Amino acid sequence: MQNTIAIRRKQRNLSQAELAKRTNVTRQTINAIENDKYDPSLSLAFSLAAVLETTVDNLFHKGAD
Amino acid sequence: MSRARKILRFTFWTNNLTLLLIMIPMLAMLYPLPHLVLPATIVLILLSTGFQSWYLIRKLKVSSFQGLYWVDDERDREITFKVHSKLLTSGVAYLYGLLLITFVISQWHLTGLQLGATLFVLIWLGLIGSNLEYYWLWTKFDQA
Repeated sequence: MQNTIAIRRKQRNLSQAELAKRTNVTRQTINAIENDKYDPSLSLAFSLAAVLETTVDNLFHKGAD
Repeated sequence: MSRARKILRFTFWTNNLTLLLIMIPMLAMLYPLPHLVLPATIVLILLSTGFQSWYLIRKLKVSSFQGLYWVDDERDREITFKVHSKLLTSGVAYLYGLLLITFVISQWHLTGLQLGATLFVLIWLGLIGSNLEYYWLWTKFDQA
């Protein structure tokens, strides 16, 4: 699954550590999600969308596997 | 480095140290070592275990030693479940192997001491192997 988290995070001048703190996960988890190495749970996806002021639909899309 | 990775590294090395110390009493049974070696080793094992617990609680903020004690978030939890699942499979395979090896060596007419020493070494190797496997699997699955 691909996502636009890194782009949206940078648009809001947030670091990975700040985003991690706001969503109650580790910085490594944010990094893994941004690099398509980990697919977050639905609950975390909603938290990310809320912090980045967008919807889960806009944040994630099915990439070519 | 994540807290989980710090705990993993720390426990990997301290477990290796403890396992090396555990091997000394076995050597004392097979070879003549100075009398002080055995009690000194037991003291060292107790100190090593005590230090490991102290460091985990005080420095790495581990509050519980139940199963997934180092898990900080859902990704850590997923990695731990994968690692534990693989280790369980390896552990069962190892136990079957140990049964087979025990059957084979029981045909060799070894003395009680030799049989005990052989089983001790096999179990010790199994523990070293599982420690290595745990570290390797965590590193493999923890691709951030």
